[in-house]
Amino acid sequence: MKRKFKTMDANEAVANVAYRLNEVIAIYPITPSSAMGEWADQWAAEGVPNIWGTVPQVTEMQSEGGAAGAVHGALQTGALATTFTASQGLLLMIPNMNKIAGELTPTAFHVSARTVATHALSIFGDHSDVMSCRTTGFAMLCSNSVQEAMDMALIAHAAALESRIPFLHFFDGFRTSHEVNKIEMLTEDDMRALINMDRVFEHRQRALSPDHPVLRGTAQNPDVYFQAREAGNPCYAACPDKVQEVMDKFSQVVGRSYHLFEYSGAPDAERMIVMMGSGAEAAQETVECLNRYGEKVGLLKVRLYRPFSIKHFLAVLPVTVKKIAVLDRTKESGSAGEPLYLDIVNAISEGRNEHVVQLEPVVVGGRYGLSSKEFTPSMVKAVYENLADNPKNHFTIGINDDVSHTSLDYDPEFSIELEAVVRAMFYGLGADGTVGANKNSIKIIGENTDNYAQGYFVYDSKKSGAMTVSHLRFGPQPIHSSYLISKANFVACHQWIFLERYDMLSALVPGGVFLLNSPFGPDEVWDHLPVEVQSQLIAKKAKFYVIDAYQVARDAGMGSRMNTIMQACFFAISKVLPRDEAIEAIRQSIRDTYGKKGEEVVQKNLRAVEETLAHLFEISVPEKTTSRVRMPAPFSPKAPEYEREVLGAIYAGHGDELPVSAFPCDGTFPTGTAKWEKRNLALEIPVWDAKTCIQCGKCAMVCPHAVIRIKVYDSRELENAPPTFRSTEARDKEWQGMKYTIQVAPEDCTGCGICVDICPAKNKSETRLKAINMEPQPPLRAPESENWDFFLKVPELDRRKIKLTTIRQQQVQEPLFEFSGACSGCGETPYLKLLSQLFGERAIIANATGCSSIFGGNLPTTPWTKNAEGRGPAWSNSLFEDNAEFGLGFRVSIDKQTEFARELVHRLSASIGEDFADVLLSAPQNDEADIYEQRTRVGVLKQLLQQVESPEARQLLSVADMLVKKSVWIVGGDGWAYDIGYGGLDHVLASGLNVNLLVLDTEVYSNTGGQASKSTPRAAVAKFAAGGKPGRKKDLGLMAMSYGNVYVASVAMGAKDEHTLKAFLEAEAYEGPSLIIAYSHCIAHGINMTTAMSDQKIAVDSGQWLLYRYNPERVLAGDNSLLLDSRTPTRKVKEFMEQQMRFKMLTKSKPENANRLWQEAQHDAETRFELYEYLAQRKTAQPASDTKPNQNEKPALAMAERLGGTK
Amino acid sequence: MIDLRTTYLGLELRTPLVASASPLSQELDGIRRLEDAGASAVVLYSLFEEQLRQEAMELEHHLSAGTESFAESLTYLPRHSEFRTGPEAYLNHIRKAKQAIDIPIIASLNGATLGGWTQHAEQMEQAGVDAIECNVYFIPTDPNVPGSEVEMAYIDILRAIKIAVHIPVAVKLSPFFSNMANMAMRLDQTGANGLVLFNRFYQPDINLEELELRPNILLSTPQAIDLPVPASVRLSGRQSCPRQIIHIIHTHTQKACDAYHTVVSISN
Repeated sequence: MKRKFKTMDANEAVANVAYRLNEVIAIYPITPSSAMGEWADQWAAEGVPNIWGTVPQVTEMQSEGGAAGAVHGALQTGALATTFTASQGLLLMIPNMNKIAGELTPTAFHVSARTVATHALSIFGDHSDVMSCRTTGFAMLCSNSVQEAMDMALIAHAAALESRIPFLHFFDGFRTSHEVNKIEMLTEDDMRALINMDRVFEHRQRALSPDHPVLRGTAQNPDVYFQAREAGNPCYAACPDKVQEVMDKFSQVVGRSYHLFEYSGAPDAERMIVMMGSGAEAAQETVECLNRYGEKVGLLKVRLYRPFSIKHFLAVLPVTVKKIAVLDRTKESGSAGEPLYLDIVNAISEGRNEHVVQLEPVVVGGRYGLSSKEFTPSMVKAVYENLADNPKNHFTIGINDDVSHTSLDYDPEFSIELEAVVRAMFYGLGADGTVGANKNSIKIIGENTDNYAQGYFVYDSKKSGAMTVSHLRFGPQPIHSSYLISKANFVACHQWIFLERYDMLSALVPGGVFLLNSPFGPDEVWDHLPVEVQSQLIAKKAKFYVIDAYQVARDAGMGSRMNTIMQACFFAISKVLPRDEAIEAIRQSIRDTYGKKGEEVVQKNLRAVEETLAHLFEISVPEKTTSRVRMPAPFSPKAPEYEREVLGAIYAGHGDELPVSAFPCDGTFPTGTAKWEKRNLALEIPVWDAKTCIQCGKCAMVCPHAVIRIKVYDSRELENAPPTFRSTEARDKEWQGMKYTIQVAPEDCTGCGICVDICPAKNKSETRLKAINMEPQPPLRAPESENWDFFLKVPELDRRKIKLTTIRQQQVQEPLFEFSGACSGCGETPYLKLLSQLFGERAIIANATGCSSIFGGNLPTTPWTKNAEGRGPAWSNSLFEDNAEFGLGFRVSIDKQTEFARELVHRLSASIGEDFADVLLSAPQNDEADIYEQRTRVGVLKQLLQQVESPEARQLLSVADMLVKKSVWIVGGDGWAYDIGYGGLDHVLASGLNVNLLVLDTEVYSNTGGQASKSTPRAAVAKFAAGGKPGRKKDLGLMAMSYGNVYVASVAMGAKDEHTLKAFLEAEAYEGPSLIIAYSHCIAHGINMTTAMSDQKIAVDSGQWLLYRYNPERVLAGDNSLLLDSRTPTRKVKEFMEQQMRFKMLTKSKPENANRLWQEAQHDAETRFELYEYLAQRKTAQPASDTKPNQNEKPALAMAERLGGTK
Repeated sequence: MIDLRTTYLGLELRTPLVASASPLSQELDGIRRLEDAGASAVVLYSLFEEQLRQEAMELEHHLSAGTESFAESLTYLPRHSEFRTGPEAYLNHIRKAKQAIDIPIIASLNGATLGGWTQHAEQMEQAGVDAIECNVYFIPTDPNVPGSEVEMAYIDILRAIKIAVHIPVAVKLSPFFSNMANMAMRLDQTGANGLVLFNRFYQPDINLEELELRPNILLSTPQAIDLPVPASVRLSGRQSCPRQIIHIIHTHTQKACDAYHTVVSISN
């Protein structure tokens, strides 16, 4: 039977096999493995059975540790179980892996190998995670390509059953996991042929069951543990042969052969590389090419890495080999060599000792490809050249190491790309449909023709306005080029703005095609191109095509999605398929892709295709450049040198060229760098109308990106103001006589429009306008930039003079969180901005992994910044699961250092002055004025200490800053707070320490693409809850309240902004643990992001989200601690749900579920409100006279009252 | 006992009271109650083709918003292979309603495209409905469209549907035709089995304080009969197809959106 060819990535290919061979799948999402679990979840929801006719049970756990535990339990009770993970997630599974291997339980884990976080986190691929599992006793099987990933997935499961040893099957994260390639599908019959049912039944027989009970997990003592541990040796000894037997069976059934170690290249090679992973594909291509040119080189691919069979390795090692380079895609600091290198050195050494190996090859080791760093044929060549003469050991390849000088030089121009292969690069804007169109093109070509196709997609680190680069190859032979295209014969630019930012033409080969989506017609486009682009087109004699895709899309009713249009252009120009065939194939794929989404969508897309070819023009490239337009520098020229040279280079896409010396040794970076980016994303920006404005401050408060700022200042500052700078009289009576300006940063705005939506003022003469209105950005860019620069120089109002209890005044505080890479209209960022305004200059933030850590800390820039005095939030992301504990560590450390400082002040009081010491130690620090004074005192103290010669003085100098109060914030999303980090969060709440926890609750795992968390409300659709979340949302606030000494607030800025402000003030003032749960709207809710903030009112009015403050201090005044700030619901939750696609889509996919769940959700809201109403109204017992909610002298309640925090 | 039986659209009715299109028929329970209360047939709430199209576009928009942009979250919502963005819910409702009651069910259709009219009408016929009421509900806003074109649109729609289905077809009319008698005659000639007089359009309001559109449903008053009765009298005796007058009775009972229709059959 002829097998089908399909195009897909490795995640899908592996999931395909793993799903069919298992009964229980327990997972936790982590990039880049999440898709495997999502496929499994989708198929289970659709009722797709495994090869035994039953539908696997897919369960999302609270962490990878939980997933491993669940898998362990499932296996131990006789089910066939698996999981998918990567990186830190895999590390969290290690304790269970040791147990599973120790108990000789067959299973296969599938890992899209990803970097383990060290000085930084990386979502990209290398072997550091799987290498951390070498000691677990799991077998390790490596795939180098998408086809191999599918094949090895089956081999792994079969071999595990045969050998009883659990398998870790891995393939490179992103490079293989996300590479789309044309593969031959394995059939269910193939799978049945490989799985020996006897082994399955034996597995079931060994299971824990009361029908034949056994004991496992005993505790053993020094007398027997060692022997018992060695008792499993025969299984490990037998394993390699068993794996080869399975591979041989696979070869018989399917036709592709694999071996534990595979040699390819010259049979009499003298130089050889040993490696595993996707890099081996590039190496193989290069070896073939080099040998064609007369070299004698070879490549040894490692497939079964554990158990490492020296016998099998030596059997394929050619006797002619004199020099071996072992390449490791990991780094083990402190080790004498990387893992694979050490294994090979050992294998040769043992081989020699047993007289198997005659020669003594020189073995050197090198590192490559960390975090998906490119590994290209030119680098492979360099490795062989290094071997030729006096080989360098412990080298690196692919970077320029000018610090430790480990790197090898390589020639980046060396290319082995074949002429017959179409190599196309597409530069698109995230969410404009470019990537989808390309994946579609690959499908069309791969599945409709005999051609092979490969696609790899490079995304941006920003969540909005991001650039995507698609690398597509098409050719008559299978494509093994596991690296990006550097010599493209087709380059398409789908966004005009990229011409100014990125050098897209350097990759174009002479005579290649450049396709541009241009708003300028064929007669004027040439003159609008930057001169750098013109000169490249001329030099390369490129063929130049343009189309106004946005116009065609708009005319066809497609809005801004121009995917099908650009796709049609590509086919028409590249002639990969004959034009008519290509267009027909596109039409068919439109019906296939969009058919289920409605005829309307299909028709629009078909219309777009019809119009495309009529609007595609070829431009003849003139002889000379004519343009006066130059590409601007990536970073503002005002940026400091480091920011410009290093971060600017990264921002412009030249990060690869930066040498090691450009980087800090410990992962520390400056703050305040996002301001240099000037992304110019917005087509329209808000413009302030001073006359209509009522100066409420709401626009500034809700702006996710801090591009709207307010200043109040003396009129003298207006001297030398730019001509269009706007200002008016301040209305607040405390600011009488002063000037007021709302200024927008025109180049940083993302155009979300939330400010306009929230503005309550209406222009009386032109009724459709408000006090802030959107207008086209381009004409405003220059004048408003000038205004912005001027605005920044206007001094900030003295913080001591700002009344924090009203938004009108509070929003004048300088934000120390600006211009993040968050999605346009993000719901989380306004809370962080508020935090930074109120407490930023004395805040230390522990940020959990998630959206906030990505937009908060993804290189090259960070939105966290400093004020003019150089103070601002200190920020760090540790891990996902440890964030609360990380922050607790901050607090304990700061408290200790403060205590020490106080002790030292006491001890040094004679030297610094008794009175001064007294004031230092007893001064209150309750408000901005107090803190200002204490800071001044500490400044004086430091000066005095300079004159005191003593070790104690030096100590005090090092901790003197601790005498000024510090604000510790523990921030993260609901994935952290409700699930993986809950244990830590709970412990921190129980600790009684003075920390503030801010949960940015999007009710779903936003950062990893919308998986359900325990915060997801009933009836919401999310990944792993495709049929609507069946259960209620976990009530984190209620659980926290049960401690009695935790301040808990539930807020929603869009519903009641002043309430949110109060809660932040009270939380900080409370001397104990404070928890703020902040409703954060998110793109994963499927909502209109412009009205999202004001739509929060419906959430509160319907009772779906309650507003409350539980303040333990209230008890001192004889009040109930809980203050329910929400009114009795006046709307049904249905009204809230109808606004959001995450609820609404259920009515289209599973209407019966929707009916039932929506009713239950209404009931939830009603009963929850009743409960809270009861809790808030009941009479509470007075506290015992000698108990206080906290140990400090001044009740926080009174403190908060001074700040105006409570009612 | 007076014999109140009559026929409408060729259907045998036990009384001249037909429940016209309203939200009451959105729930099966509502339909049963209408039957229990004595209605002789139920016209279901309208299926709006534009609404289906809008929902499909909205779903597509949200499923693709923000996708393929950031490597960790290439999509935000689960892929479903099946989305029912077409008229399936309505058609299922027809099927269930047919099983639930004995009196005839008439589907009400508001199409937006000619293809939509005929396709949905066919689907409704296949679902087992007894007749179709074309709720044309066309509000002309383009000053370049003359009245004759508006009238032609009604004729074309009717003609297309009559070709597509075998079950009876009624046309619900607005009162704003220049010569209602002429319109009725032409529709009759095109094959209409019934004319429904008249459609009452929603009357949205504008809140002058907020400058916001306020949707508005004004229930009819007893005076509303003044329009269709004389019209019907004028038409009597001149057409072969029976006409029904929609007489909206102002009711002081129960929910806000109830509307009962009197069927007066005037036949030759």
